[in-house]
Amino acid sequence: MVKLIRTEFKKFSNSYINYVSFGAMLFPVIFTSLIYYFTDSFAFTWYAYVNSLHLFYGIFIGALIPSFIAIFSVFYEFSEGTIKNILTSPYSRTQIIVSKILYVFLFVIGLYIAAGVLVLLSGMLIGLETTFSDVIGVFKRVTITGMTTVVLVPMMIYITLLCRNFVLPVVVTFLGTAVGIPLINLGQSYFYPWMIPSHFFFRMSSSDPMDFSMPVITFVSFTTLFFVLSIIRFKKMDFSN
Amino acid sequence: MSNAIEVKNISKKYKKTVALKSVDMTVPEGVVYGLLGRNGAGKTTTFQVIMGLVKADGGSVHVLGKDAEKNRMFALRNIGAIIESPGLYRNLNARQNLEIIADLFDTDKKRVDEMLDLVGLADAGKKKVRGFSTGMKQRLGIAAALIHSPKILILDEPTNGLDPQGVNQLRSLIKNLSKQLHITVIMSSHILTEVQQLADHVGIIEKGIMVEELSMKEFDDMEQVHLLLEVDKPQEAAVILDELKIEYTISGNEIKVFCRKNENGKINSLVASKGINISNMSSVKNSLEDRFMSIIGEGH
Repeated sequence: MVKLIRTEFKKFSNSYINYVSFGAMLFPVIFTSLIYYFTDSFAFTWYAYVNSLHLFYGIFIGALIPSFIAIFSVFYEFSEGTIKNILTSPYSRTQIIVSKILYVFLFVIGLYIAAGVLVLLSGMLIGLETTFSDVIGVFKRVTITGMTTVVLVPMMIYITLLCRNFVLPVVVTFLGTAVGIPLINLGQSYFYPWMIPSHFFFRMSSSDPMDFSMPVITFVSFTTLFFVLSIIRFKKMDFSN
Repeated sequence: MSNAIEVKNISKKYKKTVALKSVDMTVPEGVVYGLLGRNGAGKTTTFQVIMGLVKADGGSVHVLGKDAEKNRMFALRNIGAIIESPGLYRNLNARQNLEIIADLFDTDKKRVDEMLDLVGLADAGKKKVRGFSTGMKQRLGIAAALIHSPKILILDEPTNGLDPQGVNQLRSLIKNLSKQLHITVIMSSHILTEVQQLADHVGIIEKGIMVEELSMKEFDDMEQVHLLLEVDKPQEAAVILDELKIEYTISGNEIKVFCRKNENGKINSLVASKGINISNMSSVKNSLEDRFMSIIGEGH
């Protein structure tokens, strides 16, 4: 299984999706820090700075990038015919699809750890006052919010396996993100998978103790449901073309 | 000789389309086996079933004597395959592509160099696959299929899209794999001359049914179409053939004698004993193409 995951990292090492993903992680930091640097209309605090970034990391990029990586990781294998190589290697179909999902999980987690570091560095560069608790708090909010975007990964892999094409999953990704924006202030929008990261973010940002149970339950439910559905689908598939 | 692959009565249906009705296929170890059939006859589906890419509705596949479904890992470790087209990552170079397969099969990385060398791509190891010609991709695909030292290699229409030089290179490579490395090669094709040049055994598949399987030796021994005699006195030879009540046609000094192969010797001695000079004598047989066409024709 470890070998399968390692090969996933190798095969996408020079792919466009990786460059796009890294670029997408860098863009909000550059964009927001430039606005902060050149305008004085914002409250100059870590709290305000991270809240501005949340719009990107929690909602737009947060939904789009993990979904695109998931779609690409499956679709690319179909389009290049490389899925046959993996299927004719000595691993079970369950191992193959689980390793693919885990690869996307790990990649997204890695991206958000990098994003957390970038946010900290950029904040320091634009002159935000930094304490140890700021570092921990900011890093935690950015990375944990980002990591919860993996809730979309099994769902997107499942849809891509269903249609063996990237069009429908990409449409679902954009529609899902667009529909989620008006729901941002709705209390129970944690039932909507695209809004789960925002719920984690706002609960972590609150100065009062908040209940994480519902976002956690919906996160685990969605992830598990589509994880299992993806395995079932992959095991039953015929790879004729 | 034991069998590398034994397929028994496999069938496969996609919704309303029957891809395989009943395919039996026996591939002895160490041979080059040519699977012949028109487009859509069921060649690729047969390979996909053997490799477990497609699940058959019925029947069984044995690889080196073991049930492939129950011993899937054993089967996959012993077969290398290119089905339809070689699956390669265009964003990576040739070496990186092979390293990925080597990793999957837990194979020593030294094999990567050996395989690049074997398929004549040692100098192109660092070149990205997106810049490869069709022939180079096909050869890299073969290197990938061989990296885990399988005993069986399956090649689905390996010369598709290759230029004549590429076809020649691939042909030599297949011969080399079989003769020097003793790998059982199973290749499908609808190009009959290609199979005739390479294969030791042939299977003909039509509309999802294996219509005929035979070795090339059996094929060569099959009943001749006619015996062709070139003589100095054709009319005198005709008298002998009339006495033997054998049909013939004469064209100049050439006589086409429609007899069985085991009668050739007798005719030769009788004609020679009458003082007729035989300048040429040859047994004319069906070509593989004739045989294929007669079988395919029977189905219509």
